[in-house]
Amino acid sequence: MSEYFVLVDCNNFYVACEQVFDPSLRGRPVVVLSNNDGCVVARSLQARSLGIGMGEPFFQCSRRLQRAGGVAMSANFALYGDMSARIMCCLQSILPGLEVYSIDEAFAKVPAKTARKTARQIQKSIPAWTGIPVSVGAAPTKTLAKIANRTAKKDPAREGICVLDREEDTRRALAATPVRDIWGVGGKKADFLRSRGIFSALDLCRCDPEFARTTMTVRGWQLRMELAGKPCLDLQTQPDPPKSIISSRSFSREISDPDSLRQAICAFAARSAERLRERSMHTSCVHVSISTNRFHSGPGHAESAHAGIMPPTNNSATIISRAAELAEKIMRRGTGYKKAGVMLTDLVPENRPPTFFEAPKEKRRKEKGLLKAVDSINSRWGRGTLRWAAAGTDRKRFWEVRREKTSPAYTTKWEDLPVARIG
Amino acid sequence: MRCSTDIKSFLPETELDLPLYLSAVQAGFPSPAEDHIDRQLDLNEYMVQNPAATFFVRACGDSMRDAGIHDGSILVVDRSRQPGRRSIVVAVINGELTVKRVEYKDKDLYLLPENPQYPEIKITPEMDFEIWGVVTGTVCRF
Repeated sequence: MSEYFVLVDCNNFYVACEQVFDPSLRGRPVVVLSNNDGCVVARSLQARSLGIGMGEPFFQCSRRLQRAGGVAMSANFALYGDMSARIMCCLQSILPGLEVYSIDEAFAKVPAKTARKTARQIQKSIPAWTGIPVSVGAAPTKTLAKIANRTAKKDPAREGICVLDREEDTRRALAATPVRDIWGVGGKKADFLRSRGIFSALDLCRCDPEFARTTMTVRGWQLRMELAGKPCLDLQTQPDPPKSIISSRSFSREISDPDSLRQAICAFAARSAERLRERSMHTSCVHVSISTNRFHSGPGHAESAHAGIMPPTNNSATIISRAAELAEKIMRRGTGYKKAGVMLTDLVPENRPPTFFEAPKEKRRKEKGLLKAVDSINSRWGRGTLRWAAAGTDRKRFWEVRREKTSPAYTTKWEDLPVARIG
Repeated sequence: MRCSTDIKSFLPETELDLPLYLSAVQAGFPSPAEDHIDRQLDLNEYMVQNPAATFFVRACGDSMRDAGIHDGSILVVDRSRQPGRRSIVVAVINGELTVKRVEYKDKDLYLLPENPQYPEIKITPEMDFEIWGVVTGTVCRF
């Protein structure tokens, strides 16, 4: 029995979440901004038609938005995360064996015969249950399902559903998909393909197999097969273990005071170590990076450095002190920095085999107990209840995300429930 | 949109169960109730049938007083339920959330208050109207 891949993707997810609980935002130009209200990360249909681009810096479009009676919101990840969990839970009841691909997308497999019926059911029940509109694409391969989904979104006549089960229909959808919009084709690869006269997904699918084999990577070859309807990629229901953990921020103002910058970096290191422990992993390499404002003219400074840690650890104290040393090394006096970050790489599972450099057993046991106590206190009483002194002791921290226009946590805080006015 | 936010599965479990009874442990004799120990009662299970589609909304005002919805009550709203005749619903009228009882009279849709001091609202085509979800219960603390 042949199977189809289904891709469910929420339409303008972040904006749609805001509109569920604040109906006055419906039908208006609405954008959601990234951390620190820097860039546009989601747009309503009406905001798109104002010409506001994805990733556009907010200062470039705020006037345009305002003049059109539009609204800008800070990202409210507590809300989006909860709505995503609800959507995935609802989807799981219709499509067992879901691959959650991102916060607002999921793949699944269905029998080819029932693909259209299932797609219709999903397209009806997700908005009914959660208020979030979705588009559904179905096709014999994952790459084609992505294209089907894009087609469902672009062509209003399809009413949010596109099943590529007829040759003629598939051909037309492929012809209408430029190479840069194919899943897994980056900007550079798209430029290369265009230079070889391959402009659409259809061109790629029909290109000379000899050319494909000699000039493309394995991934490129797979792509061509997938576009031709021969599945190479399967569902990934077990997510890959993370290869790195990153904690970084743009500051709301430029920071030239070395103590402040070091404190911020220590705070990022502490947060990264916390996330490392949540995943039960150890790191053996710490990276620190700093940079000046890239929107300013004049000479900037961006630098990063890394240092190894042996034996691998998830102890905040070790990671923080290594990060602080690196920060000291790369900071230039008198330079105002706008962004800093800490990245942990070379991750291994916590229950790794021992190295030659392990601390005595008793010391390790104590260390682990301390970290466990810190984590459980912070999880019970809120993140930051117990903090590492190197990260500064001020309650108000300049690197903390600026979100001036955040909506309430409608679904995750009792004080923030949506209000219905009744007289 | 690729995003680094972790997606955690929706956990419908409650933290607090209400015990059916509490009995002191007696050493020596097995408890005669041992064979009869039941599952503990879970208020979530009682109030919420479909966790993924259930939202809490706070009522503000007294136009639904006689239906037991008071100022400050928390409404349990199940969006997966179809509104039936005379269901109490959360609805969107002209960009705002409200709570009323819905009723059809001669094919016209009305929103009825549950307090004689408030008027009925007849839904007309030019109104921006939508049923947001069906109210399946209220929760309030004293």
